[in-house]
Amino acid sequence: MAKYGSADVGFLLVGPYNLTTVSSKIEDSATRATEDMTPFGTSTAVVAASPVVHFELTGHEGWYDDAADSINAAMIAMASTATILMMAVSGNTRGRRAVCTSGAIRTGYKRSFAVGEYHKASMELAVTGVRDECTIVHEHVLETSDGNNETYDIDLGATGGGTTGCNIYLSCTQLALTGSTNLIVTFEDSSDAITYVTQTAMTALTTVGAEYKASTDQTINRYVAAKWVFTGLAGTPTATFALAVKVNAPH
Amino acid sequence: MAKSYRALSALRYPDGPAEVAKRKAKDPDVKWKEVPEGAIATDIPPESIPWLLEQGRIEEVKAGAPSPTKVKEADDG
Repeated sequence: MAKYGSADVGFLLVGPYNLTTVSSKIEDSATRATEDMTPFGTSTAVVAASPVVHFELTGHEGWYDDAADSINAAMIAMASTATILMMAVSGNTRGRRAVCTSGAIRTGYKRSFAVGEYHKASMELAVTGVRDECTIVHEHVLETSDGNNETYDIDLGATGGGTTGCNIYLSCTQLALTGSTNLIVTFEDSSDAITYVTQTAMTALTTVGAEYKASTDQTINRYVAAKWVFTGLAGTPTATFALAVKVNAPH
Repeated sequence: MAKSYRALSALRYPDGPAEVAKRKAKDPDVKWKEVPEGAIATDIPPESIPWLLEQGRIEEVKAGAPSPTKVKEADDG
């Protein structure tokens, strides 16, 4: 078991916006309401848990920033649209955990201005759908050419067998194509860490973006990797993106 | 003669036995070969073929067998 601190928060990505450096606090919560089910004829309380779990990201604190790729732009973009959220809580490191959801909805955005202080900005997010505890497959780092990263063993237990399906999250917060056609990020897997199969190719990016894809019927093998290609390579393109995956239960 | 396999998903593997050996030795400087979906490959690392077949990622190509493209065109009518 390891303990982590604020320095270990590797990234906080909301859609294609990197809010890591303008955030200082956020609370990730799951709550399940209860209902009093005590019937007539008894003096003993009966309480039942709701079958619905609500996920929220609240208690955010941070600083106001009007850059085109920062919090003010993110909150405007989220005014009426749900988006992806990816938060690395224990390091921007491949194989470490990231909390991800595809249905982050802005429920609040507050800005405060006070004499003698930097302007503040905070957001409140609700989650429609699920929140996944993912594994980081590609750290949120800059890439400057086509490539693939070293495999990571997602540790499927003693059998090492595949799982059925997965949820994949991608957030690309910076993209300069310099004349290249697009960027394609691919999630790969392998049973032997020698031959890799394209499991899921994310949608080609021509600008920054974020995407969630789910596969429900495919075998996901224990070794996973990311591959990225600047199609029609021209100039010296760059991209900064994170890829995370939550695999379903083993067979 | 090496058997031929059709990639049912895009594949990436070390380009030749020497690169496979480097891969097994965890040498990060491996030269990879990429095979797009639908293409025929004759040099898939032998140790990978069983699980690729089992999971339906490749299929063996028999001599004289029709390509999946032609079959699909016929089905589309």
